[in-house]
Amino acid sequence: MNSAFYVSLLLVGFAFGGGFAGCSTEMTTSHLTLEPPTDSSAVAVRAPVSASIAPGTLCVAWRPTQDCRPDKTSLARFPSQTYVADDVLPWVDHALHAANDARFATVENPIQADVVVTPRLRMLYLEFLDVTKCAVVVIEVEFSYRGQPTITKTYRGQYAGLNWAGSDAEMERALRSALATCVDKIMADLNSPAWIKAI
Amino acid sequence: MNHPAASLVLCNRIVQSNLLLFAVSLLLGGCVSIHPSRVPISDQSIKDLGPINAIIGLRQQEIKATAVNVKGMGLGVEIGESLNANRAEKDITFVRDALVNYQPGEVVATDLRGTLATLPGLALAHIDTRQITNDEDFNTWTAEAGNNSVMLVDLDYSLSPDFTAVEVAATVWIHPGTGRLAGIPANGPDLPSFIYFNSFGVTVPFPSHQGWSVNEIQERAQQWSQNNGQIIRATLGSAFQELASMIAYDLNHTPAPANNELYDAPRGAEKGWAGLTDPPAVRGYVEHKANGRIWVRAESGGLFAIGQ
Repeated sequence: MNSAFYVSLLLVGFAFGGGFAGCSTEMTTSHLTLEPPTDSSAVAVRAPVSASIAPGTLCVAWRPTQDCRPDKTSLARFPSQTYVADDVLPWVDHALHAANDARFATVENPIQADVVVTPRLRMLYLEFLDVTKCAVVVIEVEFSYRGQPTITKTYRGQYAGLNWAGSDAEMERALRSALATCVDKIMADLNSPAWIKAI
Repeated sequence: MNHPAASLVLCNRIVQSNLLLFAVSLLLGGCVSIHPSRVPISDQSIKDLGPINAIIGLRQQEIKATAVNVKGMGLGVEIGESLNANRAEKDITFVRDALVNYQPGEVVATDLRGTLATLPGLALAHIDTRQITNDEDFNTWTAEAGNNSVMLVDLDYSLSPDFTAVEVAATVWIHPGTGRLAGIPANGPDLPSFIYFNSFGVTVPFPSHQGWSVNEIQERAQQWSQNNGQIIRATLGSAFQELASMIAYDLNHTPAPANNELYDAPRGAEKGWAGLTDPPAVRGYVEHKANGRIWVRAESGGLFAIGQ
């Protein structure tokens, strides 16, 4: 059915017999840097804006993102190459906070908020398909509107593009694009009166 | 003899290839020599194994799309493959969303515990699921087990390129517990010695009674995922159950050919193949038939399941 599927297994099988004695390679580990930017804009987006909230503006409180991945460092694992990233939550939180829209305001205190948002990072990974690299981010978000029972929705962001050189920077860009797509979907819901009404 | 993980290095390099590696991998075809890969376990080894800890190891976080073949060679082909891969990654999100809470390792663990419970000496003392982060994991996990032997199932699951079937692949090692048995030395300091190895493949098509009628890949993805992924979950469950049965069967049957020769069909055996490509990717002989399913023993010793 899928020749690559069988050919891969056969390669494993036949090669095991000793054919690759001279072809084995050493494992390399790439530590990707997934951190929030360190310039002043990164600080600004975290500042509470409660003092300047216009009447009728939706107030949103963000709880810190929880890391719900079974493996909290691995991004991709292949016998010849491993990609890892430590402590990605500040990076995710920054992306969420930086994406705040003028139509709603961030408040620090959940008691003051119309909507309390609790993000959970479910998946963050890279994969390779033929000559394509793919980055995937899955965030589960729990919304609570004015103390009402919560509604949970899962958002997915992904990026797929030609794998030119397999460099760390290339992988980091792919992951940032995937996260940006995911965050855009979350923001689209927060900016949707219909969604807010449905919470 | 090399440890199979050494071979996986090249295999996965092809799978993860960027443009440069793809070209290099084509040139490495000449490195392959034909010997059986399967290392069967002897009855005496089973008696000496002691308690077994099983680990279901996963390298992936979600169901994978698989390679999309474009005929020809050159940059145009690679760009074509990339476009197809981009589309496959987009279309498979329907299925991934339906499986976002699915735990394949747990399903396999339950099935494997059940099938091995019936085999004397191979009942599992403990089983769990782990993400494979590094080759060193294998050594660490084996060392942690102490006197217990370790069965490691390296699991992979995906949709076929045309989204008409699920494909499950696994390689299985048994590493002897400390001081129990002299295993076959591994090729590399990070890999423990072993006394059993084989590779398995299971292909299960979309269930025909579900009224499969769509032609577009995106529509197929939607059909797999409807009702919160009821069909994809059931089909994956069926594939994992069969994989567990095949592992149990393989541990209990079929000695290795003499003199390290390939697994040729016994006299009178029905020839078999796996894969719908022409010619089929896997050739071998039919070793087992039941309920519309066929198990093909490949020349390498690997065991492949196909059928309705």
